Amino acid sequence: MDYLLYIGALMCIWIIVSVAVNLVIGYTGMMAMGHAAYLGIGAYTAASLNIFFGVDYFSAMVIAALCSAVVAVLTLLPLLRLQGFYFALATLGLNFVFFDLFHNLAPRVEASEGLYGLKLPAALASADARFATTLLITVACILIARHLVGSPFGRLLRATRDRPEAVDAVGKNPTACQIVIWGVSGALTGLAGALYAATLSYIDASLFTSTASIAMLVFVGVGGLASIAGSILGPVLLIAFTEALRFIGLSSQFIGPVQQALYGVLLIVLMIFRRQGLVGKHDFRE
Amino acid sequence: MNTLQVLVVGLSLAGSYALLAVGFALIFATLRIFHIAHGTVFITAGYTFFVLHRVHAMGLIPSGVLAVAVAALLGLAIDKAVYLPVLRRGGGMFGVFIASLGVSLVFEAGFLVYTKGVVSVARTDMLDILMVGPVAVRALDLAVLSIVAVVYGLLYLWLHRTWVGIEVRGLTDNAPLAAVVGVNVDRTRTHIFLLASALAGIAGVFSAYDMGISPETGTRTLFVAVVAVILGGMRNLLLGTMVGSLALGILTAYAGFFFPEWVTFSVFITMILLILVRPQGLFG
Amino acid sequence: MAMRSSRARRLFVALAAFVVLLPALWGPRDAAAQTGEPYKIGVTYPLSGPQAAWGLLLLPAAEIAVQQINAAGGVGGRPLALVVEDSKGNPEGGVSAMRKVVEVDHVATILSLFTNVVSAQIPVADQLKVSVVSTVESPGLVSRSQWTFAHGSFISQTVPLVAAHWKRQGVKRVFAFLPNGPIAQFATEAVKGEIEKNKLGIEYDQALFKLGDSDFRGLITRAKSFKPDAILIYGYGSPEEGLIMKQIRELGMNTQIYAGCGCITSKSYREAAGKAAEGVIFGSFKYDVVAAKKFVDAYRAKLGFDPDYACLEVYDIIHMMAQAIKANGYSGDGIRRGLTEIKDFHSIGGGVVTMGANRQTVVPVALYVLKDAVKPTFVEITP
Repeated sequence: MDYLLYIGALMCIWIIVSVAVNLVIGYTGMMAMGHAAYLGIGAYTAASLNIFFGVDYFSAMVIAALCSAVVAVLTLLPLLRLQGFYFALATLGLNFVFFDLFHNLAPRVEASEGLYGLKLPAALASADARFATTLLITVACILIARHLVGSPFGRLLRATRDRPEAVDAVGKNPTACQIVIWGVSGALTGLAGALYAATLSYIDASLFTSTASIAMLVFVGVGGLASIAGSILGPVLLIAFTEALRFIGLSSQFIGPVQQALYGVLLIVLMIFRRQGLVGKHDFRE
Repeated sequence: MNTLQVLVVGLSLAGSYALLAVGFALIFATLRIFHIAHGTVFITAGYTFFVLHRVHAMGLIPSGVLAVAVAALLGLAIDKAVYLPVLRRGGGMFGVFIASLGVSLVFEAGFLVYTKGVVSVARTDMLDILMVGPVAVRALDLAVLSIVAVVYGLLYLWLHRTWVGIEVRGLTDNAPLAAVVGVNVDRTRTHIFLLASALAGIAGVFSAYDMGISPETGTRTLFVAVVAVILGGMRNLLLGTMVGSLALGILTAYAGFFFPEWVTFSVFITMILLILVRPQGLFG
Repeated sequence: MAMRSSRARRLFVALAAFVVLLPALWGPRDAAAQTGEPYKIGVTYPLSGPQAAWGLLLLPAAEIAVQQINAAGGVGGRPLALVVEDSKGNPEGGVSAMRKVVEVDHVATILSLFTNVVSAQIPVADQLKVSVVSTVESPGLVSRSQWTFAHGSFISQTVPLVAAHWKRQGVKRVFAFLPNGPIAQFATEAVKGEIEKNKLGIEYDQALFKLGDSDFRGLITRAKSFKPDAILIYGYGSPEEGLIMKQIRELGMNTQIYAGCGCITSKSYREAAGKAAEGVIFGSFKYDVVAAKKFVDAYRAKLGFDPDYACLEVYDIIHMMAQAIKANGYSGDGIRRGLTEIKDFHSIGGGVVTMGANRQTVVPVALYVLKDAVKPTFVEITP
């Protein structure tokens, strides 16, 4: 049924994003609180190219991923000198900055608040094809990420997170590692953004707020830091939980609040009893 | 005189951030907890005040005092019931952050059920305004600024003249060392949460009276307060948050006057530029 | 030890997954309609998040409409029933809510809200062949698909009334507060167009405010320096607009305030505006309290305060849907055709409504002045 395929596609998209965010937070120790900005860059780039310039969607997605990577690296460079809390707040600040840019300057279809009217190829047009394609892309991203973290570069990342001075000592540049992984993370997030636009068939600035960035942190935190499996488990379980809550028969005025409250309780309970997330391998101590 | 009017507005805004900011800074600087639920404490005080004063017609002062007390106890309860369990089981700051978020979601949901989404304003009358030439000054703003001044004065005395206050400053400077020299971290922690939450409570009471509150007002205002903390820096808690709040209030007011569609943009670009140039804040 | 805890972890995860998915797997699956089974209408409203106020205040209007229709015998002897889901006020939630009510609960039409949510629901409506009816404001929106409909008044209808009043009062300088979004463009075009057309010779300036903010005094100072004879406030009817009204008065400005829609009839709006709402002149969807009495009384009994104009629109929509079901039977296409054919429909607010060719209703509007902010009481005035 298309409803389930839609939820499935969303789960895949948020898996890609969670993997991307976990790469920088869990594996490299850089607290990214504003990644929704890169999701937006990806979504808007792909959608704009497709709607206004007729670029076919797969090419648009690749370009979107590249643009996001570039924007991610450019926005990272000035922040590299910051530590911990200040770095985190700066990324959050960037999220707000980009939101205003999207809201005020991003292209819109006439009379609408956002973009719609994507011309999707057959592999993305129907709900089942879209789910299948998204799933394939997600699996590819997961494999790339797993390869990355298992490789010597991955060890370097963890070293950068835990003992940057040791990285220096062996002659490698921790900053270069951070830039590379942030770029990769940006590319993956941008790609997810392009898929997101295709799945919703409509995007506007309200999808790329700090709320979305914090939701990403929740997916990663619940799944577990420094764990690719965690970045799959986190979004799948949380999205399943949210949708499953729709099926509890509740009086209409309570539906929204009760669902929200149960979600909040879940977060609290998980953090108390499974502090490293479900399958996490690292704890972020500032 | 537009500049004067905008300045007056900026000062008014600064007053509304100052108490929330200093409480947040207190908790973060000493305990390293990103207490998003501070916003929840803020609106709980506001809602308590609304229920007591507007719904049950209790007097202004008793409603306010009770609301602040509720806030103080709630903040402490959140620490004891949520943060400490996470930390005692070995959780890190990230886990605490997510748990804090969970708390805010639960309370926001509760307030949504209670209010059915109608904004809660704790007064029905219009505020008194004084006209200084063409510039309008609200009596409420004068009251808020006076109270902020008094509170900051008391905080100064607390931080510099009481044992607990000195211990708190010790924690701000160097937490592990403070524990080594015998600072009772647990007891100091209780004091910190009670005090910071009470400050948030006062801010909440004013907000409920001034513009009214909705469930999402808590988290939104908290992020604004965090920006004020960043702008001012956390080395000197009082001076930092005061200056940060002033800077933010005036910046917001001017941005609203000159480029209303870019207010958030201006505020955060300024914050980012400041962090880059002077990470310790204006008064770090 | 490590292996045991890793196995325990996996078991925990599997159990968690099962528990989480259980309600979804086991949840209610409605069978095909049997005799006496209600005709279901889906509702995808924001019931949580920042827009929850709208959902929570409008939903009771739909519920009352359903109750009253059922009390009078339902539609062809069968009752109506609402299937409500939370859209969370954003496109992602809106689509998932819509897919759930259509694909799982098998509704043939849905009631929705908010331009950005409806925009994302349009392709789904086309695919699933289910009509989406809402009270959205964007003129071009519902003409995009034969499955979307909108019922309500436009700024382009209310502005002529307001402008006529400006003419009568000799207003020469107008400052407008509009939300930062495409809605601002429509409003400005409507106002400027009206000024041009009637050669009113009015100077016009505006400031765009951001939804979610709680202080607008910087913008209001800008208005103050423009020295307007009249202020126009227009938007989605969110409490921010009421707050702007209040802060205008608290900055010492006594200028007459006009509103471009009936939003001031909303409880949340008036709470934010307080006494500043008194004396505001607003153009609105026709709201004749006498004609609407049976609905107003029922709503007041349920919630403790009077309904706003948007509630009237929602009440109308449910009745239109009932009429469509009665005419063409309960099916996606039947209801769609029935809605297209709406003509001379009696709105609960008084006056007669017809569905336009672009699937936007043509409604009666009127100009009102708010006398008392509490009850509220408002009186129709001639423009």
